[in-house]
Amino acid sequence: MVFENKFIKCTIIVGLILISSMMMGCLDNSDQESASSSVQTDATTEVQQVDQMVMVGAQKDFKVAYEGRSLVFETLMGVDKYGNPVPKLVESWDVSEDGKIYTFHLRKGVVFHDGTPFNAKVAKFALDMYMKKASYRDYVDRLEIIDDHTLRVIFNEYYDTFLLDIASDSSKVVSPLAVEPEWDLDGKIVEYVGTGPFKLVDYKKDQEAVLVRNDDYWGNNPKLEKVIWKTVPDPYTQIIALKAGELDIIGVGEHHSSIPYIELAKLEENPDIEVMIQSFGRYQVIEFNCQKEPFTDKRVRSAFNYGIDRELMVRTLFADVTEPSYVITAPWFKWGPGNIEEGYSYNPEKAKQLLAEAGWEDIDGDGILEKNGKPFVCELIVPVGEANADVVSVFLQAELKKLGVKMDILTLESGAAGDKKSAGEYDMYVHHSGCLPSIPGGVSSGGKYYSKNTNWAWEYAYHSDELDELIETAFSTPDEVLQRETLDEAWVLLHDEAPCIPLYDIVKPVAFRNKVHGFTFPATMFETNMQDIEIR
Amino acid sequence: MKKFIARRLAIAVIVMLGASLLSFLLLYLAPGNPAHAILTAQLGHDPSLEEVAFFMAKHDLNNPFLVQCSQWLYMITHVNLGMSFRTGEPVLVEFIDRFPATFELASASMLIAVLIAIPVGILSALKQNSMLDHISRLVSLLGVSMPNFWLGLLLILFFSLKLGWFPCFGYGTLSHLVLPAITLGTGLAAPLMRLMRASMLEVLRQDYIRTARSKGLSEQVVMWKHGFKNALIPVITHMGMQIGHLLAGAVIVETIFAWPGVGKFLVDAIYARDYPVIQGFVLIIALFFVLSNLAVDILYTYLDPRIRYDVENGK
Repeated sequence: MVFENKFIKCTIIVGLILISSMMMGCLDNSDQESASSSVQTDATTEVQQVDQMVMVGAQKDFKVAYEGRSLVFETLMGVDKYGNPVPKLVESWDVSEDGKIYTFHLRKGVVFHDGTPFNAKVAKFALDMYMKKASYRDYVDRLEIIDDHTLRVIFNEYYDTFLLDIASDSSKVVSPLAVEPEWDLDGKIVEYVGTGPFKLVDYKKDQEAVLVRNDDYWGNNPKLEKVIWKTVPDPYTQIIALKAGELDIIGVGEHHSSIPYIELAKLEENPDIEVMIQSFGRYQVIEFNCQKEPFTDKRVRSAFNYGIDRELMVRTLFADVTEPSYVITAPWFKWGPGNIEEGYSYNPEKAKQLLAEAGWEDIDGDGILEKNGKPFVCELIVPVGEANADVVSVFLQAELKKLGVKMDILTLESGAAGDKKSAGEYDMYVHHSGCLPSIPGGVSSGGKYYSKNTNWAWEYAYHSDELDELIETAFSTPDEVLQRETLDEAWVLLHDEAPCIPLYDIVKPVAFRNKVHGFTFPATMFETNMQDIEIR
Repeated sequence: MKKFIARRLAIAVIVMLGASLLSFLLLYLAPGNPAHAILTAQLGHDPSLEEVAFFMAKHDLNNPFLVQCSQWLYMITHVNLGMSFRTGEPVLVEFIDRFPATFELASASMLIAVLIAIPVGILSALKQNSMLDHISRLVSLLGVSMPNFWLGLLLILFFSLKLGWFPCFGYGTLSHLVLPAITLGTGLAAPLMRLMRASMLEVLRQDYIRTARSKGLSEQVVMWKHGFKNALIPVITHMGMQIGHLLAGAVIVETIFAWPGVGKFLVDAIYARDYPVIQGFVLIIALFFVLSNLAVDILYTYLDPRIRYDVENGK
């Protein structure tokens, strides 16, 4: 009997190894062979027949993903990658000296996909509709239609980020006839009818959306005639489908980086596939609970910042895909910490010294620091879904151990993690520095470091009266010089206080088959740009 | 029998409501806030307090638990499962739109499982300790041990990328169905095969089989009429439960093959705390469990004439 059990166990192990190696063995040269082996599906046949068509693989359903919606809908304002407002459906604008009156000169000759003309009445309807739940709601006094293509927004109080707010997906301009009941501010958007470069012509839930070129588009017409948005939730299936030619482009359908970094090197080796990587200035950061011991002490927060070898982390975990971050958010943003010349470089000796100054010493020689008889044990909360957070947290754990800190990792479903964050039941929390069109870095009136922020649940992040005052000054003036000077002061203060550990730039990779030419990244992570794509 | 079915259907209503309300209670008590989860997903950043307040008010989420429950009970008595917080579509429409895909996958994978498990299980029992028996047990162990996501990806790599026989993902044609059905069917077949074998072995040791043989019945009649029919009872019970699970959707297989079924939508709804979807879907899925078990109970009477539901207390 014992013999039989052993025999069966051995056979199972050998069998498993054989099956795996047979299948994997066949795949060793799959990249090369995939070019010659074509999958005869309806989809690929269509690719061969239709010239200017692209199959996009996206993790989310078209109507759930704002990235896809940006092909159909446009906003009144746009934003460039630095955060400067740029024209979109508003062609030009004037702002009064006190910054309280915005006069929008709307683009002429724009029509919705259903033929409805875009004019001041429609723009007012869009603003009124979104204002019901927008942060600027209480600041707006009234909207005035000056003429068919001029709209004025009059504020009762200065509100700095208005132009950015109306550049976000939540302020997309929808045909009033696509709302049910028509023109009803409380109505529901029932049809996807916008002014964008592509029209939605067919949609199957959780499967695909078919978009065709809008030949009446006001801007340069895209070269593509058709975009098929395929919902493929699993990133590994997307990669295989891209190799098999069932998808043409992946990674564009998500604002986060959906292609696992570890797969990029293999994709780049594939002769049929090209990879492009873009930084949107969104850094992965570890937020401290600055209202809880021992992170109330800035020396401890600084020590953690000096004690982590980000360069080693990035090279070990992600090869050359991304770069380490040494300041809180990208310095090249309009409001970024461009004035900070010296970031948190790796300096373990300084880190140990700072911890010693803060009273942490290894008294019992167990490798863990103590203070007042308590060992330095802290917990990092990792919300499921934060990019690469699983491997990063293990790296941090090892780095902090070298400093004499025992860090536990608690991975939680994002809802549960969010509740712990808002209740202050955390020591450290994996998050990111934010991205446009919101002001990144947490320094705006909606930012996490502003104590009176209107944002949800950053009560336990770093706050101080001095920083509040600087943020209030910076964002209550239309004077850009004064704003920059005040922000410079704010960044010096924040950098010195080390409210978080910036780790690395969460770059966004996009992979596409080499028949796709002219792909360029949009200005923000939340858009999809198909404008210049051509199939050759 | 009619009385039995009527009684079971009446109990079904209680089971459905109980399951649905229990799932709501658990989620209500669990950490996480629907406004925060859904708005963060929709906006791409943490929502403002105004946006959260607007959402909570719009969906009556500020009401106490019991008020929310009674609102929901009132709705379902009017055949209204409410609207999804995430998509804004009626819950019933969301279910109906996705159910055909789930039903197709469930039927195909169950068919594959039955076609593999029943004959192999029987043969394995009849030829106990033979090479065939060892191989079938090994294969079933492999089937039980292989995670769906691993097998699914391997199948895609091999049959789609390498051989190009089937599409990597998608829904619509028969060729789209093959790989997900095999992935799911293999996992189902393995335990079913072992159960069939064990049950058959058990039955073959019974006195009535010996009696049948001693009466001089042919081996074929002994096996099929006396052995197989009786051995099927635990197998059918297991299948009944599995059908319920299958109709609730197969999240992993749906995710890997981009199969537009109810499972992934329901799990996404749970992450987003989309209460109406969770309650509505659980209500319908509970109905499937009740119905599949009822069907199994009715099948018993055909398989084993000794089972009679209309005979009470030995009368």
